[in-house]
Amino acid sequence: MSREEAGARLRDAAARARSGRPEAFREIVDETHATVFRVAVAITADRDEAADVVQETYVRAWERLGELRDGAASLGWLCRIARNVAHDRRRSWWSRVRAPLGDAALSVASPPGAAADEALAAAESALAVRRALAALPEKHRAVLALREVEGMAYEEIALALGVPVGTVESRLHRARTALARRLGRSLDGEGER
Amino acid sequence: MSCRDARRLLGARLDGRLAAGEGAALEAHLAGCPACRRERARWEASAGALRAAGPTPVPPALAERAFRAAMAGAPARDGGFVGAARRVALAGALAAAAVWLAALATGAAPRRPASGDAAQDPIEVAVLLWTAGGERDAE
Repeated sequence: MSREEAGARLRDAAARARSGRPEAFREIVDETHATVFRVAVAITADRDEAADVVQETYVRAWERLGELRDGAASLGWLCRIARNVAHDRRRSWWSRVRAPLGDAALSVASPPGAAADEALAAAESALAVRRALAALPEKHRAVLALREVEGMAYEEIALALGVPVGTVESRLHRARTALARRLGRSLDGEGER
Repeated sequence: MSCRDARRLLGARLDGRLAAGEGAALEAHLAGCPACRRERARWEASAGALRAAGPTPVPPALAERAFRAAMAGAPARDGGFVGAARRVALAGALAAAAVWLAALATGAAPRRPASGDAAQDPIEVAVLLWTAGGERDAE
């Protein structure tokens, strides 16, 4: 489905949902929840917390559906709500006492067909990289996770994070530099020109 | 080309956004710059590790849960006003229990409520507060 078709479907569903039809809202949930979840994972670095963020996002969205001006822009609107929900929850007392970055949130898969030793080494390496990613500041982690883990295009990341494409590019650059610095701390440095 | 420009192009290449002609310029810089070659190796290794696992699996039935929650108007677990009220009740209960235990340790607290009034027993106060928080959840 093209972006235009998806936008038209969401516009139609949003119009029906605003008139109080739950089944139309369900169409919006079905169409958007995977992306909203991935944005929430990228922000929180915690799958369980991200699932809670998604749930609360749609609660708020249903309550505030009247504020959605263009139904075709539902995904960006929902991602904005999800970011706000994630930040609100992090500010809460309960979130601060929760373990934020369990390894369960950072699971890795081994490449298919690799020998056992190689698979183990690859998994350990991948886990180290994901831990380093999880330790980055949120704005760097989120953009890098959406690009590298979720495989989203710059334009999709820009929509999800509510920033211009140029900002996605510059944040990706800084995030990759920071990640390489964390992973390469044990190596000797060489001067730059 | 500066190292900064080279690394911008490294990122563009990783993301498939390198413009025509930029690849050759980047390679020329890398050929003479060990620091950027090492950075390229790190960027490629970390990108490979992050991409290998693929997108995060969406929990089964997440759409159903989210939709039902929206229709019920219920906030997600631990969130919203109800969750906050419950947490306040829990914090109060814990504080009351801590005071009672401290008093017990110093011999200042009676082993039983002197008057028989349940509200004077910190443990029962804690239970009442917690129960009150739980009742609000159902509203």
